[in-house]
Amino acid sequence: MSAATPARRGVADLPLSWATASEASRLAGVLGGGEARAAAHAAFHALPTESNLLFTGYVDLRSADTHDTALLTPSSTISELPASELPDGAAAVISISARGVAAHLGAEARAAGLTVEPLSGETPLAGAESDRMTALIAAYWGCGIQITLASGTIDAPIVIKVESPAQGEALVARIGVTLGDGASATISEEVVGPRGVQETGRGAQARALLAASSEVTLGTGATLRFASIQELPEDVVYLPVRRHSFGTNAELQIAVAQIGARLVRGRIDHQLEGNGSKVQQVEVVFAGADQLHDLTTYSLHAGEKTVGDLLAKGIFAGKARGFVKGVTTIPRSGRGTNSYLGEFGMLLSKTARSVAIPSLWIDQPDCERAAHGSSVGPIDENQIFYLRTRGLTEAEARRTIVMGYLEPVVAALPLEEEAERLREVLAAKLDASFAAQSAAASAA
Amino acid sequence: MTVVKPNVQDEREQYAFHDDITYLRETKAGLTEATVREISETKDEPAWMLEYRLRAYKHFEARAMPHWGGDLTKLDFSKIVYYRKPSEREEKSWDDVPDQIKKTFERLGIPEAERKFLSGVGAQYDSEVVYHSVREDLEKLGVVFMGTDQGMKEYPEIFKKYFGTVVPAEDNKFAALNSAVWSGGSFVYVPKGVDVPLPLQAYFRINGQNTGQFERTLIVVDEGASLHYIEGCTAPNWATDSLHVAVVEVIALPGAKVRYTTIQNWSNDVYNLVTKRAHAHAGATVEWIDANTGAQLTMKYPGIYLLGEKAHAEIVSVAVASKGQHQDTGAKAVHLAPNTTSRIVGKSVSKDGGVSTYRGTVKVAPGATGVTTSVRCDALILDEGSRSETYPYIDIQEDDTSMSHEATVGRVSDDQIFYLMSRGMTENEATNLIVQGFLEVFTKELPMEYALEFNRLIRLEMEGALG
Repeated sequence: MSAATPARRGVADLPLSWATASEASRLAGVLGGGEARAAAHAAFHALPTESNLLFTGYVDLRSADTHDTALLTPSSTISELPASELPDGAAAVISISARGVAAHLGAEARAAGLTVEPLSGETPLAGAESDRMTALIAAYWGCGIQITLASGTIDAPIVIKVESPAQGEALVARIGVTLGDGASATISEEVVGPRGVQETGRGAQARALLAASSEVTLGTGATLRFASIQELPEDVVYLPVRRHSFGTNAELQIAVAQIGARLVRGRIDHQLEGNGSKVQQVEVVFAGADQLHDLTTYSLHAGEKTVGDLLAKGIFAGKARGFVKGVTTIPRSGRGTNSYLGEFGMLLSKTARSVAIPSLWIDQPDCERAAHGSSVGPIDENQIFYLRTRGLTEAEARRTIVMGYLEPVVAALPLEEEAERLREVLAAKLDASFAAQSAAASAA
Repeated sequence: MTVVKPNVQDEREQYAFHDDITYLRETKAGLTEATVREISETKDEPAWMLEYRLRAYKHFEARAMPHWGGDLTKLDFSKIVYYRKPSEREEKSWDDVPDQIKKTFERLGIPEAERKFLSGVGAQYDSEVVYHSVREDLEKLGVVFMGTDQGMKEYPEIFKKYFGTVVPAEDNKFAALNSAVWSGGSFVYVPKGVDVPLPLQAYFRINGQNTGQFERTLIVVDEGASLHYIEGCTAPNWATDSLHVAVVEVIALPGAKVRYTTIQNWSNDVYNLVTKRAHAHAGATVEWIDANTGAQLTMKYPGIYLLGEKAHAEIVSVAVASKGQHQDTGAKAVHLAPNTTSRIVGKSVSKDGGVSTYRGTVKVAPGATGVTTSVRCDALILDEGSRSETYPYIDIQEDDTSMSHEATVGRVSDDQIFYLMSRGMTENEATNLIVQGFLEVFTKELPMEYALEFNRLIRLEMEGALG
């Protein structure tokens, strides 16, 4: 099964020795969905990595050394986690890792009727026919869960912990979330490295693969608050695909922080089909060293009077690259749309690179707002000066300014403890990048 | 007091005529290596130019059509006539221009404009430049303004030094096509420190059916000199496809100031696929002021490469897309030197099913420190069935860049229309006025005579916009 890695590879190649028809059919034997897997397998091999012609110049998967990884097929049964694993203040905890899926539902979650079940093999994954990474997940997923809240409200967050596999392994997972009419819930997702495995340090290539879908379906008037903090070790290739479909007046507040991983190629789709549906998205990207974050958000305002309010803020240090892209589409049916897309970047080093491509595609003149804005700027020296006159050192001043720049995103996280933890993670990463920068400066 | 507005007449008819002219020479429809050789031979060119043309032709043949932008699937290269020569030579005296061609340009108001407010004027009819003149006092100062073919022969040193250096033959498929079959265009040289006080104007006219016009313009403005160049374009509507593939190269040497203004009003059967690019050296300023109201498909993204420190780029691009039109336009600023600045303003109006696209690039290369750049693009959609697309690419590779970008898409506000109607305007007049106001960022950059003409063009376009 391990053919040699191709000697030459294009920037958009993603060599995977296990992406074969027989592997898709083997997985269908274990988890079901034979036809869909076969179609997705064909699509994965037929589609270009980037099918959107606007973005083809901005693909680079060369740091992914995933050809010889072993594709994991954890047990499909969901085992019970001990109650001690339930974080304080959480309604439920679900763990997805190389070991399989385990969960523990607290009293509130059980009383509200929350269910966590293995995902049916027949569940279609929309977008697999047109997006290559979605096709990858649809063809080769080895682990899937379905979280359902048919009605009612769960105030406390449902915590989902997703662990990347170890070096040399690949984990492909699907997470379905369905909220019925009027249901309301909060999900807090933590994407982290494998438990008990020390980070092997940063190599030239990333040798672990985590590809995961998050398929959210919101019924009429359903409300979901969703936060995801990604802190993967820097030997991981992370391919998240998020697809959100909205019923009438459904509402999603989503906050995503991308901190770790060597290479992230992520796609978010908001299908605002229900009239009056609404999405508010905040995204923070902090990349240093030789990390590459390639993130695209597609918003389709198909329903009437839908609202999209999307804000991305990126910090790029070291030799990091950030490709932050967005497409807002307002078809003829999307009367009264209110849509804003903001992409803002800050470069902390001369070798970092920030690319922003916020696109609009508008067919309906009757829109309340259809706008985007983006900016890239350095840390304002006047602000540093001001803070220094207030007694801060230059390093403290820089840190304060960057943290202030990211704070609107951090503050959007549903759990205060999470926000606090994210602040700590960001501050630590910031200090490390300042230290690396001054070391580089003194070496020069 | 009620303001009485004159009714707008549809005056497009005045450009829609064509002349039944017998060409002195024309190539057969379609493009082969023999066509390229024939054009070069007709022009009695130096060998290096034939080599250049053939190299470009090979690249054109090998290069795929762009897979982005507008719909080019119906463009049939084999139906186009690549070279049509209407007169024997380029004249310096208006009286010597052949009568029929002279009449055409007189109907278009060219000699009148020259007398009134221009430093010089050039006129191209299909493939060849038929007239060029420049004010005597400027000629004495060494200002050169002539057809590009003549420029190649009379100023070989300047020509060879700069030709193809800003837009290489291999830049894109259409630049390759132009490089293979180019004919006509303007050659301008402004010597060191000379300030050309009034605009130079070139007027491009496609007359023949299925004609391809491939003018090649080369403008070199030497250190500390300044120039304003204006071009206008029209064609009769033949209801069969015509092709306009121009390449414009502008070189602004240190401290020079160049403004290049275009009012493009091709008829709706023209494919307008143009590569316009400038090099701005240290301390130079280049401005592209670009309006597109005609053609069935325009793909044009005037670009400025900021090569020297403190160079400045300014691009104002406006587009009006009506029925059956796709205006795929935009701007490109590439910052390659420190402390360079750029400002891009894009404005588009879509109506009657028209599609307007803003496609722009701002790139700050490593080493280009202290760059400031801003992009603003706004779009108006006047009715359902029309479309607006915005694709800005922003690629920053320096940490002290200051970049801002804003874009909005919307409709004409009902409140504004209501207010203007309450002041005695009809709905159509009110919409007209709002659209003119929206495009003012362009109009105010024009000399007065042109601003009036442009507003008239917009009123014309807006006729019947509201039923």
